Amino acid sequence: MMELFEFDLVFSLPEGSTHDAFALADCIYAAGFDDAVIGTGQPGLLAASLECAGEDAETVIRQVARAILPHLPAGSWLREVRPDLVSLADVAGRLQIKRQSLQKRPMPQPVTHGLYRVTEIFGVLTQQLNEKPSARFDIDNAKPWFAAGKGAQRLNARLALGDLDAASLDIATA
Amino acid sequence: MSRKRHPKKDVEKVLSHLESIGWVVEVRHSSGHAWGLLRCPNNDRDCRCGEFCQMSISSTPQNPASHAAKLENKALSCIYLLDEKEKDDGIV
Repeated sequence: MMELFEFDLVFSLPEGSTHDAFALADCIYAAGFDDAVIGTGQPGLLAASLECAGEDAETVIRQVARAILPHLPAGSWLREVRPDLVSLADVAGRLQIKRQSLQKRPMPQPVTHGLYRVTEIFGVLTQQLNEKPSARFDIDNAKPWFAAGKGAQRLNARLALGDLDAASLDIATA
Repeated sequence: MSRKRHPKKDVEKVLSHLESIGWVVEVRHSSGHAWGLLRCPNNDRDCRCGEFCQMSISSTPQNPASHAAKLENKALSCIYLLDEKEKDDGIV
């Protein structure tokens, strides 16, 4: 079943050269992602916020990153996929409620200072909605973002463990 | 407003709103897919790692309303704006 996924890709750019923000954005648009929002606020990093449909999040995200990489400066590599670890402010923003409203609800244990696994948060919120359908937040608008969570976590883990080559996104050979 | 208007009205409406709360729009003078840049007045790397303190604006989005909404969502998720909103609401 086709599903919509919303995620951010963060690429690391090669060191030792300056990168023009317009030229970097053109790289993403040239790869066919005309609606992407591209962040160039940190030197050495390029972030792209995207929405794409497909069968499963990990495959979709990996395909999109592979489509973009050849358009980036040589030596670029995929550093991170989001959402993975998220703050309550991130989640509250997605649900269009106040952070304090989330803090009043049972939440999973944080992984580190104020950051939670997006998949665990989604599980808890879904359970709360099932138990009390009148809960005052609308999760439907945030579904594409939550749906990307598991794929983002898997890809981050595979990148961290060296299972995927960050520059080509091919499966690394032992 | 002294800058050039974005050709898509949905995008232009969001740019005007963000300018009214302090974001700066830099229009590109050379040709290319990126029409311009949006810059946050706070520019803090503690704000969602800082990458979206500067965002590109597409010149030809396939879905202008969606592109505009994404720009607005990213901008309005700025930690400084969230803090101000909570102060205004009397939460902090």
